[in-house]
Amino acid sequence: MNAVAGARPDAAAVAAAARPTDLPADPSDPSDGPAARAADALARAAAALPVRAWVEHHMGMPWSVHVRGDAAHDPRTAATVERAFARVAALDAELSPFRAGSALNRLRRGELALADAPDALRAVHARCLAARDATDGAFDAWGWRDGFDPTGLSKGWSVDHVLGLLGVLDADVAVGAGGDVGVRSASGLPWRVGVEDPADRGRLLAHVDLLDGGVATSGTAAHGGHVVDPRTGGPVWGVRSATVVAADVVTADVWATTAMVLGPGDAPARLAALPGTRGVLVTADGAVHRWATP
Amino acid sequence: MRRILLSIVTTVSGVVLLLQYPTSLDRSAGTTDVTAAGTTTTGTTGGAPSAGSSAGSDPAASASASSSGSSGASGTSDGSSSGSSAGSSGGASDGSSGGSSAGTGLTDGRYTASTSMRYGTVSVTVTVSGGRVTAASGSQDSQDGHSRQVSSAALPTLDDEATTAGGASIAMVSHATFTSEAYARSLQAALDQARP
Repeated sequence: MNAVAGARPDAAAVAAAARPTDLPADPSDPSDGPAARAADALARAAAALPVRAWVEHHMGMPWSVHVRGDAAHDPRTAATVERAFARVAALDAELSPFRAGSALNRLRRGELALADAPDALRAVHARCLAARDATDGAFDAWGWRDGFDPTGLSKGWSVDHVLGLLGVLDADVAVGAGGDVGVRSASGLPWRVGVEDPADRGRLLAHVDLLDGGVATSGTAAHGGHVVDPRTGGPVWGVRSATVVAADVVTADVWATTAMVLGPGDAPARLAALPGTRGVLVTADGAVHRWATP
Repeated sequence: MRRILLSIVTTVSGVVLLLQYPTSLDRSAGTTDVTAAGTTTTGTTGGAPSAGSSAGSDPAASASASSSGSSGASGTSDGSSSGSSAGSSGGASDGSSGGSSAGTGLTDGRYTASTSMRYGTVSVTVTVSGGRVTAASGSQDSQDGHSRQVSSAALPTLDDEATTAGGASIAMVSHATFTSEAYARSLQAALDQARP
């Protein structure tokens, strides 16, 4: 730093420290400047902690679990992660729309009453009802394929569930599944989550720092038009990519999907009005909208 | 553990020192104030309030060793010399459990650094509670007098490319759903492989 305490600082050193290059280029942009540099310092400190990653494929997608902290390389941590993956496999057997014998399909065929369904399926069903209400029908698990299909919500719910299971670890934990990310921090240091650029999957569009919560992205980049507007039955195209950060992955997922349905005209204002969220929207014309609402 | 402790201490002191630069040799043109409101040294142990991990069903969560470190960033600056010091001491472990301490050795308190710049006053506050950094935020008073709260983690930060400074510390990537086949070519796969 500039001087040993008590010594007269070297004038040139102080002048160098005060040079305008240290100042934000644009005072109105909080992504540059001292607050951003403080965030960078925290993220770098977090990245310096011991970390271990595990990957398994479940529900037709990769699941990544990262554990950060002293416990990262503890064999007991590995055992806990293994149990969490086993739970994902069990959830898939209950919630899969592709397995004829899943609880979901038995419910859809009327062979299983909701009251008798496994806890996970009943919880997902309840979140689907709540999401349909909250989004005024834009997110509708009953509106896009024949009957009740909560596939759009099951993955996020499973990520939240697994993150909760891994809460027994005295460590920072991040869970990613097919682009949904849930994190929790025991150290107080953030996880830095990148947002893929929908125009170039090898690049990042943005990043967010997060202690506890979920990040979800919906988009047309990977599967052209995989989000269906329940009001028209057709694919939606106007929003290229929507990333939402919220208190949990389900909430983030529901609103990322909803942004696609609402389209470029309504989505930016609707999402920016949601308390406790932030995110990035990229519309088909390439425009990037960001928001952060306390 | 010592490495972690040092890295966190370095971070907090870095945050405080970050804004300690005098903006000018002439104090009338810019003032720098750094205040440290740390009050107690807690010597937090592994049983500290680590959110959600007290259920103890997993043995990994029960390791405990005392850490009596006293460290942190503190001091005041008169704008012409660095009055801040950061260091770590203690950190003694009883070694009996063989476990690691969850305490970071940071001194509880709120540390605020502010500085006047051409466009207004910017301050960053770091809160340490239970030996952990629990919050870091910044605020900016713009020249027009409107105070704007800018959380250190508020607006998503736009990146130029994956290899920017921001990218270097990224752990996970959020993206539209893709298949397991596509995963092999993804950024997330690269990040996973880097952390065996």
